[in-house]
Amino acid sequence: MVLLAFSLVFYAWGEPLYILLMVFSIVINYWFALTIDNTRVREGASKTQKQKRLLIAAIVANLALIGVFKYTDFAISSVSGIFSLNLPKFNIPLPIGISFYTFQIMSYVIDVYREDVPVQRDVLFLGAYLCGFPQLIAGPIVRYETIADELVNRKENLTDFYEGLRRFTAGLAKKVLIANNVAIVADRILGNAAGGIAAFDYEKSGAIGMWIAVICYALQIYYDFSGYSDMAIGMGKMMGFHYLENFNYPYIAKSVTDFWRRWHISLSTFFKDYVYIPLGGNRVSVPRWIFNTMVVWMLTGLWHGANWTFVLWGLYFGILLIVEKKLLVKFVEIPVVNHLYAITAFIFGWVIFRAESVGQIGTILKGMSGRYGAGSFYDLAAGGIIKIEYIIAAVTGLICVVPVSRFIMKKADRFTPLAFAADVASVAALLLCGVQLATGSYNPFIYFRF
Amino acid sequence: MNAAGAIKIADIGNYKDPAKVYEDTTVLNKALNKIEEGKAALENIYTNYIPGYSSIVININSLSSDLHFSFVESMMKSADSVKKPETNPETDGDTETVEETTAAPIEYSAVYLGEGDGVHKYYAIYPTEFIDTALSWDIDRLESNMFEQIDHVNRIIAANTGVNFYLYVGKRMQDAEYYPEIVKGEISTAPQFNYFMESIEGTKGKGYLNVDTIEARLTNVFKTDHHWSAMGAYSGYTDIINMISAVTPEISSPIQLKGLITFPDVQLRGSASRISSFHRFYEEFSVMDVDIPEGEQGARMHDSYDKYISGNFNKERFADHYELYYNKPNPIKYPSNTTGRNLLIIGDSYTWWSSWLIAANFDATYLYYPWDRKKLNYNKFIEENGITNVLLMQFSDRIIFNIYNDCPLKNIITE
Repeated sequence: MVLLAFSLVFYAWGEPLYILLMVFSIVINYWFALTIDNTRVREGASKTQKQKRLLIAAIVANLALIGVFKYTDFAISSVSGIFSLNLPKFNIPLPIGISFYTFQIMSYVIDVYREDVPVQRDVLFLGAYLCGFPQLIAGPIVRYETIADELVNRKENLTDFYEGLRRFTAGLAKKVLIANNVAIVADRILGNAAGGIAAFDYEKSGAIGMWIAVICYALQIYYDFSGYSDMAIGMGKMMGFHYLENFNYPYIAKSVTDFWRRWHISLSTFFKDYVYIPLGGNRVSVPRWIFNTMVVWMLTGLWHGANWTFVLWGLYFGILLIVEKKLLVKFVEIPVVNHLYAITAFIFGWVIFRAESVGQIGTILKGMSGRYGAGSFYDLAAGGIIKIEYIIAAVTGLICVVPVSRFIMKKADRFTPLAFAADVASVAALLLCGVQLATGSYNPFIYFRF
Repeated sequence: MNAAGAIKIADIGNYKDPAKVYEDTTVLNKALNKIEEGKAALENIYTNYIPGYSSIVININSLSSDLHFSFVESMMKSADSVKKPETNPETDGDTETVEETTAAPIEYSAVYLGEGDGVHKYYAIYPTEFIDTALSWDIDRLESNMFEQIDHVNRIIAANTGVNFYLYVGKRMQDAEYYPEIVKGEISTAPQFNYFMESIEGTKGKGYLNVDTIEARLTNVFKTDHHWSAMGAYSGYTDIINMISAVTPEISSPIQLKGLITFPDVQLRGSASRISSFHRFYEEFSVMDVDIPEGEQGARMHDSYDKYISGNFNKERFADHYELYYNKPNPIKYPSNTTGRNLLIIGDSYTWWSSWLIAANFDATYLYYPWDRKKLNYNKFIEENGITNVLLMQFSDRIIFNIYNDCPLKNIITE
């Protein structure tokens, strides 16, 4: 009850109006799951037609919710584009976190239908599951089975609190000290329409600037999102919840397949369990497997945003995964080469992801290839795009994409002075975050548009 | 604890508007607006009043600006681009021929310092060390605001044709056409400035502060502050009085400037330094030396001359000497004047260094600051106070673009 109340206040702080939508989602999914379970009890059988119809209705209702708020204007502008019309848009504001909490509650209803989890008969506990504030805004997408027991019977202890606090601090530092700083570089070179930031002169940026921007964006999106996941996991642990890991050093991946086992694990697991496998997975003919893969990746792209660039991005990775599995099996076993291949793949993937339009993809790629000239580091510095603090953030970010902290913490378990130093570093990081937040007002959060 | 002297807190003026504003048309929206105002009020408490917050912010931002400037300086191609003149070494007997030399134009370079206030980009410009700004918004947004402002100003002018209405704009360097030569990569807002001035109708006179050359800009505007300097304020005063007296000569000609008084102990780091936290550039602080008539008791302009000359002025690095120097009486009345003319100035901070001087040419002068967000019943005020002249005088990014959204002209009621 307390967790639910504070979570609702937390959400209402940013979205006082859409708290009602959140409450509606809790209530309606509570009803669907309860009815499916009650029907099963009454009928004495599982997965009957009625239960199936309830499940479909639940999925349709949830997808309709996200569809209306997230994809209405996209659909309108796409139709306008295809048929050369000028249809008016509704300009529906996107409720923060709707993509996360809708998928989360859908997973619960599906798992109840599949009898993977028992139904939760107390709507308050279900509400606490759905809108637990640590993971409400930007994930991870927590499966009900992960915390079903902890919702009701969790036990807080000092060890978990301490480890959670350290994890939270690490996430905050990733977000504030690294992601926020490299974001400024990426946004000022590439522009950010939503933030009202115009792109820097492409001729002044040149190839130097474009590559710096893309690398900074790759760092931004990783530290932004994994930082938030760390904060969610840390805060959850402080309260006795043990969420699953959402990132596993994706930038050391040896293939695109490996990358997607390490990046946003909760989302890729969701699509695997609830779309890919029900479609047949890879236990089907090759054409059908290709179809399944492309459907999943198209949906993955679309989940990230209502723009054709996201769909292209999803399809890009879908194609790469198919090619990798069919043609590059041996190639991805070659040391170093496989890393370089994976890095190249996700760097160009981020170009597609970051572009604000399909046209800008070409502009960025042209810039990276030097079509606008080499660019000038001096112009970037005089223009305030390259500053010492951004360089420090980027270099730190590049170093920490490898499991440096994991290595240190393993050693710290056996070497007390190192553990102490790690604690001091955590406190210092927390203070630095406070200072950075106090002195700056720049705090974009990429995944908020989801 | 602050009152007891145990801690020192300072209001750093870092106010945030509500993050969202809903149209005040339904009960729900009104409630949501109250919630947003409450949130902004809470945030304004901790961003403005936590002990030490302002010193931490200022010192860290200063360090950051300093580091960045040093970083760019180390890459600078040349700090001094003024070419030395060539001389001809050949002479004819005992006669030395001295050729006339012409100074090559100065090549300016600008280093971006940051966007401290969220609406301006601040640039440190050298070799002449001064700070200037570019607006952060894109042109579409600027022009959208500009059209609204034009409508408001014309509405106010049309509301009462019985008074003589004048417009005077504190023009910025970015409003001048040469601006992109100084701050490369930024655009000039000259087209928007000119459009605004041409679109205002029904005035008896329009004018602006001369910054149409870099020399004029450096003379008339502080190097580290966005306000007009003493010379600029006097220049503005003479423009305004000449403009008004051309129509109503009874207000007399401008009072003569005796000179400038410079306070040698003051290192002025004005608003531009303060907001960008860049302390490297500073300048001397001078005020006008003029003799004005004695005004009405309680409405007399006071200055801080004695404090400044004796060294008892605020010595904080970014002290706002522009704001601190003059008091701000309102209204300002001169019983000894018999012009039969009363003035209403709709102003902003540009008014602080000019209103007391302008008022010396009128019987009574009233000041209205739209940023107080108090409603002004325009015609009623004019009638009750015998206003004969109205002067709308604001800094250009405020009057043209409403950049801070802090001077709502909609609060001037004309119906």
